[in-house]
Amino acid sequence: MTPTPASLEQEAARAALGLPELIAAAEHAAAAVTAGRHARQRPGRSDTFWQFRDYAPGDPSSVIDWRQSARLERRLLVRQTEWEQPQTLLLWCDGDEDFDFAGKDRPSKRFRGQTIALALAMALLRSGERVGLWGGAEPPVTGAQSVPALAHRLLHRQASLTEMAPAPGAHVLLVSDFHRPPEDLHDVFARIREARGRPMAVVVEDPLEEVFPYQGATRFEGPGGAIRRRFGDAGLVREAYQEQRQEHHEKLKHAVRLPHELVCFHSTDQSPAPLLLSLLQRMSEEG
Amino acid sequence: MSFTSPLVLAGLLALPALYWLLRAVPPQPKREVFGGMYFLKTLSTRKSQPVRTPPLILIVRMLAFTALILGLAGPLVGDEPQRSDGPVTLLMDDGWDAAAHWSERQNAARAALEASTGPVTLVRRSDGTATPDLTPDQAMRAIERWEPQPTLPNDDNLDRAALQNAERLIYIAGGLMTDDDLGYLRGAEVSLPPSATLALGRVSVTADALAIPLMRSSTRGTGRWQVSAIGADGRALSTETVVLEPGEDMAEVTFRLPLAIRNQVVRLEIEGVRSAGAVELLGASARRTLVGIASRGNDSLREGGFYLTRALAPQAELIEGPIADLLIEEPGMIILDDVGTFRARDRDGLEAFVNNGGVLLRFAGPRLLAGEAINGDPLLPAPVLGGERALGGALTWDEPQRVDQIDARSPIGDFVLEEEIAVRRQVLTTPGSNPDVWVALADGTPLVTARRQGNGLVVLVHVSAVPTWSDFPISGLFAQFLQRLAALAETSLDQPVPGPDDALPATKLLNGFGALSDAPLGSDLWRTGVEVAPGLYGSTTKELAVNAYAGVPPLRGLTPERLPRGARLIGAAEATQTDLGPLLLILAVILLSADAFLTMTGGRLLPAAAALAVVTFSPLIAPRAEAQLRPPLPSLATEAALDIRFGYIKTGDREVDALSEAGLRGLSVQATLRTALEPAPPQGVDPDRDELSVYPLLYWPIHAGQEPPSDSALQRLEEFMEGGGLLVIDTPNIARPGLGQGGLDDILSRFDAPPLEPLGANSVLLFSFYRLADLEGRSTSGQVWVETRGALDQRRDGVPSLIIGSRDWAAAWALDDRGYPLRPAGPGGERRRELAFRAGINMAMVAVTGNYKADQAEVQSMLDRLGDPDDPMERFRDGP
Repeated sequence: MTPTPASLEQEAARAALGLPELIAAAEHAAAAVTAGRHARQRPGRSDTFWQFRDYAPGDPSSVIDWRQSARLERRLLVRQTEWEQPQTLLLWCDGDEDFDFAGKDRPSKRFRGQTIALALAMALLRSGERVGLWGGAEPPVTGAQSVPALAHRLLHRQASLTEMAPAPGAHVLLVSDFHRPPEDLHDVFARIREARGRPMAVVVEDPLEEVFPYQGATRFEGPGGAIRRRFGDAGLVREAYQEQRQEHHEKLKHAVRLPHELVCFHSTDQSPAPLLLSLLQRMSEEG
Repeated sequence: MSFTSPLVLAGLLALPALYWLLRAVPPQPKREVFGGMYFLKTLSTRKSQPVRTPPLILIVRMLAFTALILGLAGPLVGDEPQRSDGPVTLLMDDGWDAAAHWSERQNAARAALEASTGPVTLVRRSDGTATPDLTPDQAMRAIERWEPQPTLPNDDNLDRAALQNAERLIYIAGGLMTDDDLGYLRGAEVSLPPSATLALGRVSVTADALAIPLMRSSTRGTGRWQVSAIGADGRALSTETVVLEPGEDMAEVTFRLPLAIRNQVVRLEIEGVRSAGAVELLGASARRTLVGIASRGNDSLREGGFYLTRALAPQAELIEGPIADLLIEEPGMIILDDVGTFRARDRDGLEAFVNNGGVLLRFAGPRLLAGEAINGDPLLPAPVLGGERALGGALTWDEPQRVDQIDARSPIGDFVLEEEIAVRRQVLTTPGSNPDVWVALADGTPLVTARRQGNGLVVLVHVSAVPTWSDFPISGLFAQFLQRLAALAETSLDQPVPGPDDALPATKLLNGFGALSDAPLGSDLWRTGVEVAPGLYGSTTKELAVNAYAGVPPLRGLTPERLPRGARLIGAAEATQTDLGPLLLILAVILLSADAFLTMTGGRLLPAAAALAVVTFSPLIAPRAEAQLRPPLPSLATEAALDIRFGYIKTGDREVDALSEAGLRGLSVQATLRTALEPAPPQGVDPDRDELSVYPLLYWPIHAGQEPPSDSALQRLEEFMEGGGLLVIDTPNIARPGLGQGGLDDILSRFDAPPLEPLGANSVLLFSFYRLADLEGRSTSGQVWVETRGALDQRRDGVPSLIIGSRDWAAAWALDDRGYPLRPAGPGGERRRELAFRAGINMAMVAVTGNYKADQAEVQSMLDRLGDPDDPMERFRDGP
């Protein structure tokens, strides 16, 4: 099945469908997430009361809180609300040829990765955050109505991970199998950190890659057929393969330096919902 | 076991080499698509040397190779045919029941001859003649040309001594044969038929049934067969099942049928068996007439009924009772034993009976004399003189008279007087009346007179039915006479009656396969006591069926036990050798495909390999079911068949076709909005190629100068109409269809269209949904023509199949995708368009629901019958 924006959206919606219940279960996370606004602890524009202050010349008379002022003598109080600003989440989901691999009866890694990215975007959009694509020409969007456009753009080739400069202060969700030198990830995390952003990486893999159940004379091919490798007995390379993979994963984990950064692993035979929940939780924790 | 080409077996020597090769060359590596190539590509290929071929694959391949070589070597299993070069005598049964296994018999004969090189003498048992010496090739060709004969084996000409002395005797035996001395078969090689042959015995016609024995040649196993009674038109009138249990070689099949149906049976046959033995022909003698007798009982020798019933019982179905009861049963002949006076109702009934072709036979007696004398009584050949004539009594001078003459032109003209019949007393007819005299006494006074009356016949026997007046009732002539009259009642009275010595010409002859065909000119004539070929002889009244088997002598199947000592059985199975080659080759293919499977799956999918083997095999086992499937409908027709949709005939003119399409779409939309009919979008069809039967309605616009349709297209449109479809022909630019210019004339001249008439006010088209005055379109000019009322009555459903008009309906209906009209509504404005839609919906309703609303035509008379529709009380006024 070639993924279309509609099918991706459907799949992501299905993944996100389970979320409300999970969110309800984890109330803390849910409260934070559904609040949708992240207080800046400064006066600003929102509905949340921040403080009263004396009227100063230049304030519009409409901001005077007459009821409070009436309690005091000869003082006029102005009601100030807290400045609240929505978070920005930037999505990036891409990978090399390996990323297109799909085990039997399972979605491809790419599709699952896109599902996760879009499901998270849906959850955030629902609570009023802004979501955009990493390195995309379009600015981040808000509102649930922009989901189809987002899905459409997700399905297209993404900007290169190594080249683009991160947006300042944004959450960045990187989804891939990261079958690339781990240094790339370290580098990206570092750049996001520099821009005061919060990087999160989800490593999507197929269970077959972990188990490596092959035996006998085998010719391995990438999903695109570009890379081929032949072994007289595949069983004999299993150990070396698993060792390499383990090492790679360790190096990927080392990209995390600060507490709110995250590298987590997902297998396509699992449900994406728990992963989504933990991601949401993580995003709300640092408020 | 032998091999046709043993040299191929040398290939088996290559097995060790194959073993070595197979071990050395590993199977092709499996191909795996894998997502972790990033890691694999960095891994070294240090261990890519071959692993050993798995032993399972090795074994499978070796077996396949062995099977292949053995199969190619052509192994044959079975006894080798006995070879001889001495003279051979081949005796072959080709009689009445041989057709059932004819090709097997020919094969057996050929197989027996194949192995011999010496001269061959062929003997056919149907005529017992022997051929001169033939070479085996000639003999085989002769056997090829032989056909089974419809007659019983004729052993009269059989030279038994010659057979017994033959150096080598091969007997291809039939099934049922007469219980003969089989001594000449001592030392013969006998090939018995592979299964029982069947034959029907002699039919016996009893009072209430046809009974026929079914015989089989072997007593082994339970057999179930069906025997059918076939009428003159080839229909099976009745079918009975007969079951033969093990040990039984004969069972009687009984057909109990109403007399009228029983008399229609012309042959009995075993279903599914094609041979002369499986057919029994029934002639006129098997037909029985229903005869009604009005007499005063049949209990004692003093009552006429006693003699009448005994004379007629073998030939006719008898009923006795008062005249009124007899008439109800509609007999072919009514016998009145001394009835003089009739009730008025009986007389009328009898007169009608005679006028309609019945035969009325009356016997004289006291009551006849005492009866009322009616001038020109239609129930008597001639008026009867009061008072009988007594001969040879104590007070008379005359001797009793002898019956002397039989009129040769009368229906009983072929009877021969072989005995002296004395007549002592008789009635006389009035002089001057001239009835046909069939039988007269020596002095010329009539004994039997007759007269044609209407289509029927009135016969008067001038003596009584009891032997007091004469010896006639106890003579042989009496029974013959009654039976002939009964036969006459069953057939047309105008048939010529054959004379006593007439030879009957053959009309139809039976062949060895049990089929009747017209007798060739010069066929043998049937004469008493002469054996002729089985078939039908003579014509209707005296139609005579000659069957191969006349019921004697008893027949028995030839079983191995009956063969004399020294005879040797050669079975059909032993006669030929079985070639195991194809089986082995199939096995090799199966093994190789299993090998392919094993290689692909690495031996993990053994069940799948087994399944593959089954799939490979199944075409050999399963019957060819696909041959019974109907050809699939083309996809266009499938779509049309799954939904109701209208069709239009593509004219080739793009603009016209687009308008038809839009028109029918508009009509479909409107029908969906207004009625329960919800057609899918219309389709264009090419009557030359597309399946038409799936559309209820076809719209066919004909413009001047249009490419004329082909004859085959018209033929298919005729079939469409015949199959219940409604064809709407629209000639938008031609004012007077049928007379106009352009293509329609040409089309109608080649089109087998039903007769047409102008649309009548009571046509179902005008009230099938809306009540309309006319079928208006964009134009109202010209006349709409539909199938005539008379033609409709002929059709099974009374639904018109053809509408021809020049109303430009499609233009009126045409809507674009958004539902806006494509064309202006024409004069009359939107009201006209609305009426066009109504007309279209009416046509569609007729096409789909048929004549459902046809009774609306009578609505006015129905209302009238209900009374004054304005008076609501009218309906209740007559009520209780």
